[in-house]
Amino acid sequence: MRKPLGPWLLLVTAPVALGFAALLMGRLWLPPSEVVGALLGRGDVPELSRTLVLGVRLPRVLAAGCVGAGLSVAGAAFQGLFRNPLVEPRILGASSGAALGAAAALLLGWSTVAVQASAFALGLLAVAGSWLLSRGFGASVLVLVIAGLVVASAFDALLGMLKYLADPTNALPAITYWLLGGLGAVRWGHLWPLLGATGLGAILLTATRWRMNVLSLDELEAESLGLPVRRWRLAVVGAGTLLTAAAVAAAGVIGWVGLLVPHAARALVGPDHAKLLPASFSIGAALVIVLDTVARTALPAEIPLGILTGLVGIPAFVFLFLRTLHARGGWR
Amino acid sequence: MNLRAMGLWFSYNGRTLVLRDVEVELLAGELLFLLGANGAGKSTLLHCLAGLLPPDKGRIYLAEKELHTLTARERAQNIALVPQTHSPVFTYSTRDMVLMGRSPHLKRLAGPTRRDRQIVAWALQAVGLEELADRSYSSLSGGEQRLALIARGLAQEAKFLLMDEPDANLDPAHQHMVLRLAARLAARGLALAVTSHNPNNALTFGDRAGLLSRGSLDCGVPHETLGTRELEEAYGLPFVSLSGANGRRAVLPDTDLGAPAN
Repeated sequence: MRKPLGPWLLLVTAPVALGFAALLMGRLWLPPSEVVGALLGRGDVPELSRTLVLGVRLPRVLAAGCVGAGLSVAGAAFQGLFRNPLVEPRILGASSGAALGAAAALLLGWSTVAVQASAFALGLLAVAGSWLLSRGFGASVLVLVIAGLVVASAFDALLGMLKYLADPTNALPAITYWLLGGLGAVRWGHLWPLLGATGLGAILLTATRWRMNVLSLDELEAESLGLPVRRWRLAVVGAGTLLTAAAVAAAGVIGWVGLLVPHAARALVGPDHAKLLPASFSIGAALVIVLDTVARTALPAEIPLGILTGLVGIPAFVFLFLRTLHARGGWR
Repeated sequence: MNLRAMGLWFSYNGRTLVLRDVEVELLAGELLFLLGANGAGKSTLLHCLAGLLPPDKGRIYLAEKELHTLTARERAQNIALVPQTHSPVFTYSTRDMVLMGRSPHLKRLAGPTRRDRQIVAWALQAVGLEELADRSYSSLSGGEQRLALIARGLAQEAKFLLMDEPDANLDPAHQHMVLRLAARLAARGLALAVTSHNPNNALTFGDRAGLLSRGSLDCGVPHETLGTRELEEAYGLPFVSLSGANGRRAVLPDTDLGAPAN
């Protein structure tokens, strides 16, 4: 087997290099030497630089990396599982559940950590609801998608009701702003659950990576190849949901990343999930680190990350879509 | 080792009865054809034998063990299903497609090893696709896709190969290529069951043939089970029998309006 190393080297170094670059940038630009010094804990770094790098920017860059990597690898896995390249990780209602959880917590005036916890819990609950609902109706992937749509719509309606009930001077803007997505509030204290969930979800999906190819075939066919399909599907849905709910809880609703990045990764390393999942992880981390850096540096006021991913995502998606269409001589 | 169904009954949703007290046995070294009208239950029987559809009644034995007591993995190590051609959503390479046949042999959570890749290379060679291994599976012709799926069954190292209409939608030359390969695999000691709509393929290549009619299966030597009377019974259409120079026989639907030809 020939293994071209170039792309993989790039995939490993890109998120790290971009993450380092992001630490330099901000309202106050820092020289690389100070950032390295702060990271290594050297004493000769000014107090302000140390606080900026270690206290503010590093957790934010790590969070951006986790959110991007988690949404992307979950998107790649869900696209394989549902045999549909247009699937996003929020297909089973994780994002709608998380949005409702966050909105309810904001309405009740809870702390940031509690908002995250509530978002995460309802994200998991929504997907569990979709899963259980689909089990009542034959449990094929198509039924699962429909159950996800139903549950997401129900949660969206409840979210609408909460927004309607919310106090328009305080609670409503807070909910709206949260839903637009962003990492401005991230501090170390909020980061550990995200790091943990992303790590666990990514490890679980990495363990299924080779079976994902078989899972992406027809259900009976996968079963005939010796795969207990239901069990593996549950593992993939569970891991993908963990990643999605954690990402949405930390960053709000970030669209497009989970749809777009797997396509970029597929263009780079091909459709084999053993390569596609790690590549999606890396590209997703790099992309959101870049976008979040733009979000906090481009304008005097922060741009909500969700808006930025939409603005960048749509043209990028059209480009990729047309390129794929052209390369294959047709959509299939 | 044999794969054997006894007293098999199957219905969809407990209503539409498809198989009625079916007995069938797959033996090493034999190529068995399964024929029958559309909807007669050929594919259903194949899926039952693969352990993918649980029958209403009856038992299926793999050697001494009942099929449903085996895990999906154990089943797939012994029985391979070669489905009708299909197009996967993602454009896997032919090699990756065949490599999926190694799935029941992989260690828990592990990926394929060098040995798995060697077996895949051997399987691709056995069906003559080694040149096309790195092309995308969806870009292959219908006949080549059929061969790739057979290679996947070989990579599975199963002793029983169940093929769902491997001769469908292929020109006569490609039908022969695929079925000659099936006969060769049987000669090498595998047990094959092949569904088909072409009685002449069964007469040419089959060691045995079974004809499904009204849910019942009649199994035996192709010349006997696929006689004109039996075929008329199964398809509701009169057939004539033609004899070739070397003692081979072929059948044709008797579409002459008027008296039967013989």
